[in-house]
Amino acid sequence: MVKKIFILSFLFFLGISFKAHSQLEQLQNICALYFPPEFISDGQQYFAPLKPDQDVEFRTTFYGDNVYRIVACTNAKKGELIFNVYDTEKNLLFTNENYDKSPYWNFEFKSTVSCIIRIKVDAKRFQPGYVMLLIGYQQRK
Amino acid sequence: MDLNLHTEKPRLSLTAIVCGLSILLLTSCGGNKVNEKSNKDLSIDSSSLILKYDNTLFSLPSPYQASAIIKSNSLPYNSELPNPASRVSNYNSNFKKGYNLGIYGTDLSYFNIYDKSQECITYFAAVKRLSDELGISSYFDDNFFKNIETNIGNQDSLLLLTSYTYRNADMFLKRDDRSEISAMVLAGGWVESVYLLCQLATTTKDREIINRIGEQKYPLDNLIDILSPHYYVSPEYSELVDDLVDLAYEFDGIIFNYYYKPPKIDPKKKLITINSESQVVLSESQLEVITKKLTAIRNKAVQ
Repeated sequence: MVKKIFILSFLFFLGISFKAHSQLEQLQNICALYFPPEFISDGQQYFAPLKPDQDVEFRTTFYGDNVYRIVACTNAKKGELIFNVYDTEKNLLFTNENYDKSPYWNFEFKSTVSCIIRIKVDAKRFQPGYVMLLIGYQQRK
Repeated sequence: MDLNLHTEKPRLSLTAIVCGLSILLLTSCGGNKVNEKSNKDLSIDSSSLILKYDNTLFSLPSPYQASAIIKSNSLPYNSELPNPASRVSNYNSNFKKGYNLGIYGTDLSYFNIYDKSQECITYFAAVKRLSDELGISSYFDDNFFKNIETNIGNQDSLLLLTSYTYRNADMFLKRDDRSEISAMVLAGGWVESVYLLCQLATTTKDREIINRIGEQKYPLDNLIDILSPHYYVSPEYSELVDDLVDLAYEFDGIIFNYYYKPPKIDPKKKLITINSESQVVLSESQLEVITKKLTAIRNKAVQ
């Protein structure tokens, strides 16, 4: 009996885990649509689960004389993703809210700037899911 | 009485197993449980499969960009700078494997910008070996090597392939709750890229390279934040974090001025130009101390 329950629970756990993995892979494929080959990935993939009334914050540094693309997407149903980019003095540099909540935007940095990217999902009710962020720089020609 | 005791015990065990599995299930599938450590602010959220600090994720600039700066400044090739691929068999712990996987990734991009095809093949083989041993070799399968062969000599494609592969490996490690390895790959990439910059800055005194080193203050803070939750994983992790914190003290002495200027946006091109300006003041003596400390950290990594 104990063995049976253990096996069933283990299979259930595996099933849920597999679902989470496939959700992330699906999300990765959606994000990749906005990430063309002229942008070189920073080699990192950022993702986090959504939680009610919580933003997800990413801190990174962008080098001067470079063009970057930021892609932010979610698999939360009926939810639109808003991403805001601030400098370390909390000046708002960009929000996609004014541009149809575009899932990507290009950033040209004249100087090196450390930034905070704040992501939230705009939905009437909390929608479970993940958010993913990709950052890539454009190769200098 | 005896009978009761015998019948109760299995029930308790069953409850314990089911409860245990449920907790495991909730923590690994997006539940809200956060593993609290002694310091409440510093926690690993196993539900997110990623390191978090007050719901904040830290990232580092691409280590491959160091090569782009070297390329744009036409600096001479130095075959002695990268970590020799022959050392790959020396790395026995997951700490060292992850660390050197990151280091070899940066070295690969260094060879790539100088069109060193043979070295690229050798280093891709070293990368494959480490990833095999770390159990992430599914991203370095036969197709991957066919792509390498096809693209040898094509700098852009090789760089794209390298960054894409490392991104997938990063996702794979984080998703499988192996953030301590993914953090080491990041650490290796950062340490090696700054090491290359420091060596080149010392010999060439190139101002753009020196500035780029000074700009590592925030990325170094981020790296420490990424590694700190793993401080107690093993003495190797603790030693690395301590060394990086010691290095960060030197970076604290660098003057970094920032002036906000309103950005300009071009909605048609989906492009924003960030006009804010920053300025780094890094003296020769500071560069010397940073180079010395960073070289010691790097040499410990590649031993």
